[in-house]
Amino acid sequence: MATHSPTPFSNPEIDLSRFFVTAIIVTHDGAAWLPEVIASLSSQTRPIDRIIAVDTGSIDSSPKLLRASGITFIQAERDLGYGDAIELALDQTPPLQDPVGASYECLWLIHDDCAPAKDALHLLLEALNDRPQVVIAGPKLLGWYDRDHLLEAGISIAPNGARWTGLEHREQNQGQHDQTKEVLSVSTAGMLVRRAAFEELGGLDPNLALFRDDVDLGWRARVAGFGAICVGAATAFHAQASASERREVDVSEAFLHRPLLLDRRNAAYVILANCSWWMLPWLTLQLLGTSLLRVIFDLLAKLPGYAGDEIGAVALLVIHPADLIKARRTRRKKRLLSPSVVAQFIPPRGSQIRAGVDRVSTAISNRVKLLNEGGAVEPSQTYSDLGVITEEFDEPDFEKAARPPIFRGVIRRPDTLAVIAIFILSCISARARFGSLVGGTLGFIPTSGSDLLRSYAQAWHLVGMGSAVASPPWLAVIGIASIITWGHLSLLVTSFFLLTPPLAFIIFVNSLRHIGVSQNVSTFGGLVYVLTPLLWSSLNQGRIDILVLYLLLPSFIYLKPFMVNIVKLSWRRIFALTLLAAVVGAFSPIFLGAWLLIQLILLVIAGIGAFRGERVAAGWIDFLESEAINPTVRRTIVLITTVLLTLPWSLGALLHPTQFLLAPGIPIANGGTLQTLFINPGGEGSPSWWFISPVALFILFSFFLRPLQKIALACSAILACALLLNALHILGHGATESVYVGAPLLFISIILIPPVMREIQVLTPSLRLRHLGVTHLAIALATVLTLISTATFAGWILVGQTQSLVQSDQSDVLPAFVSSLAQSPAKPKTLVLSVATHSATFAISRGNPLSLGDADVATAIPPEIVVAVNQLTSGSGVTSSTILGSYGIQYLYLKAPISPDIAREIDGVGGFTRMSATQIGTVWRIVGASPRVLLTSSPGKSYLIPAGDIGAMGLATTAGTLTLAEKYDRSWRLLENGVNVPLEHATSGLPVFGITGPGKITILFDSTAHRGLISLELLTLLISIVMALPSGRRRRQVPLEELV
Amino acid sequence: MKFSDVPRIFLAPVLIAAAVAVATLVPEAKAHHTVSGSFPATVCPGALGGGTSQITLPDKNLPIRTISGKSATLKIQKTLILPGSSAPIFVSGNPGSEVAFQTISGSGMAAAVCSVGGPDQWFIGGSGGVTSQSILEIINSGLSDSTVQIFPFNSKVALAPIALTIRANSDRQVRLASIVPGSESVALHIVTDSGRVTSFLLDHRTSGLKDLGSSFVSPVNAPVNISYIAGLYGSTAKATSLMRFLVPGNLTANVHLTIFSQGGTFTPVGFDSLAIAHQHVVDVPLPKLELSGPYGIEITSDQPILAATLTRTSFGGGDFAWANQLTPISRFRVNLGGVKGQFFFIGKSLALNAQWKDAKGRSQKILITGDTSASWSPIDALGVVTFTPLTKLPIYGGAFLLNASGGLSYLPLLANQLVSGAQEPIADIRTLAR
Repeated sequence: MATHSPTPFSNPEIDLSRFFVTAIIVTHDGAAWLPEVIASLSSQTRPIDRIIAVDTGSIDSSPKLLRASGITFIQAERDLGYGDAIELALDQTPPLQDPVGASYECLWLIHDDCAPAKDALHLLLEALNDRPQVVIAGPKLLGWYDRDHLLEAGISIAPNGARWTGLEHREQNQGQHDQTKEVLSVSTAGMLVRRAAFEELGGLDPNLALFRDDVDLGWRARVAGFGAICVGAATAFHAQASASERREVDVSEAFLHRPLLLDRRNAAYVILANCSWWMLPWLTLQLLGTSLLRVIFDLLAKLPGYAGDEIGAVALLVIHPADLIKARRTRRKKRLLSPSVVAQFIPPRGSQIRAGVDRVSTAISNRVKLLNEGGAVEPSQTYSDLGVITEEFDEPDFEKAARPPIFRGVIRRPDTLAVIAIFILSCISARARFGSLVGGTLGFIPTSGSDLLRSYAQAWHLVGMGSAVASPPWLAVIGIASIITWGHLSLLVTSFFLLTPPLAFIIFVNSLRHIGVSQNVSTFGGLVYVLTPLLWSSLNQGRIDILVLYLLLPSFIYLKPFMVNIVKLSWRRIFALTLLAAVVGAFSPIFLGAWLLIQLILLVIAGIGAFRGERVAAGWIDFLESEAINPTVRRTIVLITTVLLTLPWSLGALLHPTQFLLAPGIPIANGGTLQTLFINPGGEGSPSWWFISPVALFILFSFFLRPLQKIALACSAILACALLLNALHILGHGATESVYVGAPLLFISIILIPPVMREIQVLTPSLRLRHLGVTHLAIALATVLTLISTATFAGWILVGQTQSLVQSDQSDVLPAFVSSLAQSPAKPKTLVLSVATHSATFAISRGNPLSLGDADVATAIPPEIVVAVNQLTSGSGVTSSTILGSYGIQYLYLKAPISPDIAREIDGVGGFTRMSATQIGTVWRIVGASPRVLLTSSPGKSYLIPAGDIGAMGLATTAGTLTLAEKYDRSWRLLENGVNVPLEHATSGLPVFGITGPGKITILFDSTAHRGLISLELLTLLISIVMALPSGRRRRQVPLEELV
Repeated sequence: MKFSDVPRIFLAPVLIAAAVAVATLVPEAKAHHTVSGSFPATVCPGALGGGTSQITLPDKNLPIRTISGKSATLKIQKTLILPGSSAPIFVSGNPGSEVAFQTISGSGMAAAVCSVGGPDQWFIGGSGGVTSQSILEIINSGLSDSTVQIFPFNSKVALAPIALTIRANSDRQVRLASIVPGSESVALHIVTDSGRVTSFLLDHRTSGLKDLGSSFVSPVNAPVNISYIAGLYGSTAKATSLMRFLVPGNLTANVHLTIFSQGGTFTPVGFDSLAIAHQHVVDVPLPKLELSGPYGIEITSDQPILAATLTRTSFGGGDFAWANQLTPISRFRVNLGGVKGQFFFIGKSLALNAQWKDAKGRSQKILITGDTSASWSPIDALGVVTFTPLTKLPIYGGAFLLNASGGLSYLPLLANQLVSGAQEPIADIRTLAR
């Protein structure tokens, strides 16, 4: 035995000569690393006694290198597994015959991409020498390229199949793992194993051709009563060429040569083959669940191949259960200890979660860093990194400036001060809005976000006479957003109303900074953006759509969302912008309409460009494959995706385009032309017309600055459109009201303020150098007027603003008696009548208060009911009760203030029986009102069929006509003894069915089409999100230096 | 600035100005709040106190029914004069006014314009004294039961209210003496809590077997500061008059009376600033007025006030008539049933047309004008007469009807058939929101 020189960790007094070490190198296209590996083996301080190599059909220069190095090697098949290759080598190297010597014979398993440090073997043998019960010892594995990168210091396996090293992401070797510790196993790259034990254990499992064979061996050794250690002092440098996909995996078990598939399959195999039988179901579930999660994440990361690997791994195990059964049987025979002995090495769930969170947060922070620095971050190399000088040299020579106290830092920043001021203003303004909000355009807010989602998914809405109109997509967005407040919707909305002004300021200022506007000018711009009548009247009026736009639209300043030059954009950016447009459009139909129109125009332009005669003349196939069609295809995808993302609502809006002009929620009156002219949408809760928004002044003054004239003209055009729209009254959302122009007015702010701020920034220094002129005066006047306007407006917010329409007052409009009807299964309808001095209105209630989104699905009330109500109030409604009753309206409620004339008319016409008269209103019962579902037999007898919220189920005792007191819709279905009955449209406008005889009847609203559209929307959303997310990298795409 | 930039600067104002012009000038297509002008049904009183009655209709084809608690079916009677019945009559909506004439006994005659009724009806007149045979008839013409409260006032105090329930499609007659026993000066406030209720008050007085006369007291909707009573019998030699006041508020009212007559306009002595105590009925006799024809009164008060005039005739069998505050005349048609009356109108620069058919069936027309008042005394007995105001200023009118035997009755020209501006409700989901 050759002598060896001591190392810092080795103990020279220990005699290691009794050990006989056979190093087995398995090579497979590893020529890139093999020379260093061979060199490291030959330079071991404790020389290797015997070296044998197995080359598994390398097609590179590996055999030549082996031959040149004088190592004995065996040529084997290319698809031979690692375990089989070891077996082959053992066959060629007979064990020592001396029983004493045999107990000291060791195998040192070496990969062709793993170079042990020169003292590795010595230290490993030292450790084995001290621990007779230990049969496996492995070095600490470091990266091949970054040699401070800790790869492994012992390995284990998590219950979900993950390879567990217990190390942090990119943990650096600082000697923290230099001690020798008990582990479940070590990697076969550098594993030193006592040959006798190895053979006793049956060697590496031939079912594990590659990957996880090491853990399996360690596990089997543990339950056989042996030990395994990681000798931290011993190191090896590993390139992990197979795992990092740097070479083909050609083992026969590697289906489609996919390493991940093999790894996952083997991981599951190891767990299921070695675990206790009673743990099998639970671990199987965990493996399946984790696989499913990994599939989702891989799909989100646009790595469908990896997702397929996950599914394939499970499938491979399922289709070969015999392998598993056999493996468990074999292991049972050699098991001396309970499988629970490995429990100490299985990572606890908390550690796994912590590691997962750490990995995700690191990935996000790296991503953010990348985005902030505008590209891939290459850590700056210090001289010490380069090895030129010592680390001390890199220490900065200067003394770090003392950081100022936090408070002083805050008050020195104008934007921070402005945020604080705006937040205080918001709190004062919201003095009536602390609590669950209602009023203005908001209806009652449901308790939970899931209620909103349920309402969004429903095809039939119990609003008025019923409605099949699709819920607007903003309901779904808010419903999902309620996750932020753990589903507590009221808290979300209240917080949103409170925080929108400061958040809008922060976002807008950041957007300005993004385009290079200085801090002070950005702060000024942010104040102009936030301190406008539009925002604060929206808060008072409950215009949740405008508030969302206030937060989202500033991103348009630098995102260029209309994608004019679509060919130059990546698909990821196209889908991200389409998603953004769809979210904005979900809240602002007027934006969605404008967006679709602009995209359509751009599509037509692109189409005309692409279909020019000479291009098509070259042949259609060539044309379709040419670049010329690219913009058209991209634009078409954008257009279709936007429509699909807002389904099913967008379909209704495309069929009835006036829907694009309806603002979300309950309609409320706008201001007049003068207010709109001054960028103030007006209406109750907004300041007077003479609170001129600074934006209006900016438009005016922009005409005096040549660079801003085009933008000012564009803003004037939008303003002119807003003025025209404001004068337009349309019917929708259950009332007739003028078009709300808040969104177009906000677009003006977004378009105008950034260039104005940039111009101010450019002009301010140069003004000092110029002679006094018109520009000076214009800017001075604009600044003074803006400051006056902003300050006056801030004063209005503090003391002068009128009462907010949105309040935290939850008192119901309907009396408790009527509200309680909403709890009954059939939810009978109540006609609510309100007569004021100059107007009289009515609506149909189902007892429930008007909730968020209800107005958006409200439809017109049948004309027969309108006539009946008019006749009722005019005193000539002798048949009013009959007509109203036939529509299933069972109660009439006259809201306070009660008009005595109307009350006595109702008393007089007959068919209405007073039930109560209180200060809040008077209730009549409509005599003989029909139930929701009524079966009328031929002789004229009527039978009630019990009904639920939407459908009904019962027994028909006779033939006749079944009338459903709901609005007619083609989707109403009736099954008579399981057979579909044709739907008829009664003259009254109600759906009726002819019942042929006694039997079981079922009434339902067929929402198949609605469900289909929602599914299509969700599918589009999923695809768009996947497309918009950053792509994950396949391992082979990751630079090796980054991995190892 | 380049010349080429100039159009851009001017284009924006042009754009905005055009938009403002269009937005301002184009009529707004707002939701229409239509005021319906339908004619609600009216109710005529039944024959009260054992008298006989007849009801004159402005049209032969009006569907009517009796309010008897039984059938609610309307029938067309094809007649202009209905013989009265003990039950009140329900007349469906029409553009004319119906009048109920009632004769109980002796020379007395009472006339009442059939009424729609209302949630508040004030009756200033009547007596609960020893001669009183007065009857308050409360009619529920609706098809649901109604509840009514009577708030009586006498010359001393506001009495405790009385609540009554009137069954659907029926009436209830209550003697005034039972409401305000022993009180000579009476006023009633009828408040309808629910139901379609119309009330009539017949003031009938007897002294032993002698009938002292009868008159309907016209209902008034609400107390006002300025009111008018027109068409009073002005022959002072044969009649005496007194004013009855009620100030329902909580302050004493200062009242000023102005008499309008063919002889001129004046204020009687003592009525320049007459203090009327609140919350109780005050009777003030009018001084002897040297008037030869019908006249009218303007009552001005600093507090909302209710007022009526009682005129007693002493010739023939003697009779009396209550005249109450009037509402302005609008175009309306009334069948006077062949009664001869003298009309008197008050108003500024008043002008109105009266059209009727004479006995030979020929259409007749007269233009009635005056600076502050005008009177019209038709020569013939009148049937259906249509009054059409020609100015937008309010005109108040009334007539006294006098028969040869001394029977006097007062007919206010009240257009009760047109309900005041009922809004046609429009469907609006905001009804369900606060």
